[in-house]
Amino acid sequence: MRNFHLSVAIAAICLTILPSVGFAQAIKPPPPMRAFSAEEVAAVAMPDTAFAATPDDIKTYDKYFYFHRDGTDFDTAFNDLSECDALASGLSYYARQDPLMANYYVTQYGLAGALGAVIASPIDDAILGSTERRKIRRLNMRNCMGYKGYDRYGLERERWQAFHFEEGFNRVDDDKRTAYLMKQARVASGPKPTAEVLIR
Amino acid sequence: MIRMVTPALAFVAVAVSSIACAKPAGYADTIQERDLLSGKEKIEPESGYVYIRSPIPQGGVLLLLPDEAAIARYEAEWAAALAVVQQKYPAKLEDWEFRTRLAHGKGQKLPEKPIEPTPENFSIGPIEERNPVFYGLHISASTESPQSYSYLLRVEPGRYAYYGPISKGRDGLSGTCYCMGTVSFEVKAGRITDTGKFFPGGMLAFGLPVSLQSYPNEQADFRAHGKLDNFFGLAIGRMPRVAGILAYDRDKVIDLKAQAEAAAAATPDAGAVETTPVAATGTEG
Repeated sequence: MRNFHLSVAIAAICLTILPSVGFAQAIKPPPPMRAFSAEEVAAVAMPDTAFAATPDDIKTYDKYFYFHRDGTDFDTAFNDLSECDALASGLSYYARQDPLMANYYVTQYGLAGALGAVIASPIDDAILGSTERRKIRRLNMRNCMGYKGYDRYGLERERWQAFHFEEGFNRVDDDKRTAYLMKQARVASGPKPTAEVLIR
Repeated sequence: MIRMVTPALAFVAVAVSSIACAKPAGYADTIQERDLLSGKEKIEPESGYVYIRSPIPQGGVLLLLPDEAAIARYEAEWAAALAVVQQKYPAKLEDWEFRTRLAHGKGQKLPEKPIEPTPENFSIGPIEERNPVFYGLHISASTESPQSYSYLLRVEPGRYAYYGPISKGRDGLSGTCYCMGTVSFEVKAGRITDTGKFFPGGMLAFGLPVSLQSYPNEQADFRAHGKLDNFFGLAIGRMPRVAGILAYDRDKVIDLKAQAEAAAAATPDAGAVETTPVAATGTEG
């Protein structure tokens, strides 16, 4: 009931102080599929995934892996990876209301109060810890890409680090993120790996 | 015909219900059987009720899906909040320029420039995140029937999506969001919506205990629901396939009921027809 009164009050304020802002922009559709030109795809160097696996490598395949799906083009792979990356990171992909930006405006512009209850999402990283969050992210990428029908292959650590990132508390820069995802898409849509397919 | 599976009533007892401010934030009001029988609690005509049964104690989250009125309120709130931050921006920019000059003069680290609020970058968080209804683990079940735990939740009427087996404890949230495929169902005012043993695994087994049968009630009409964001940053998963309700084509969520209805409407006299997949409501999968 309190929220209702609050919303009515805010709606009333809105009508008086901001008639020109289009309300429909509040809820945006999911992002359109990003399309790349042949030149853009060609400019992404194919990462090196060829290596002779040692027993130690095999032990770390739960951490270091990549995806591939037969008959998948670069655009599809990139968009699949981007969707799973957003879901794995707890970002808003479908509703397009970025919780990081919401938090920014709450903290930097003092929007607490009206939005405080909404922004207080219970991601308790202080308890969960950065290591655990990285682990959940890896698991989420596996689940999400697995649902999409991608196969998973193990990789040696250094080769993996050349086109992947880990994320705990700190968010990886958007440009770097896109560059990594493009490299992953190159592999995911490239020639079928000869290595053994791992369980999803 | 509803087959009564639960021989004894086993509404959950809210362990702390008699204590003031007992219900943790975000948890649904959970009605105890004894309070309903004694008249302390009533099935109110303006509230909705969800009955959940489980062989083991469970925690879960239902999301109240926004209707047109909720969307209108949300959009108005978003616009009003955007107006506030846009009004503040010039002063923030001026303050940043002043502090930057100061930092330059003292050779200090430069402050970060404030982001200019625009309709494209401004956010108040996803609308679906606003009304999570938690139920479960914080409450201890009745000992009358140790093999069956049940929850009678008083909720706002509307359409709910099952968000997954998620628990809210002192250390935060744990569990799995059914972000990549789930079901939704309608909860009507003044009626008990029986979900049976459907959560979390999708088992269709309805049946209200005797004490609830005299109240207006109906079985939940589960429908496939599309993808949802991972609001809480949890492990992501999806509800298992449910015959006649929910299927997947890779990660695309298929609404089998809509598919059957479309097929029946197209060929009302046909017994067997070819059907085309119908994507679930919610986000396109």
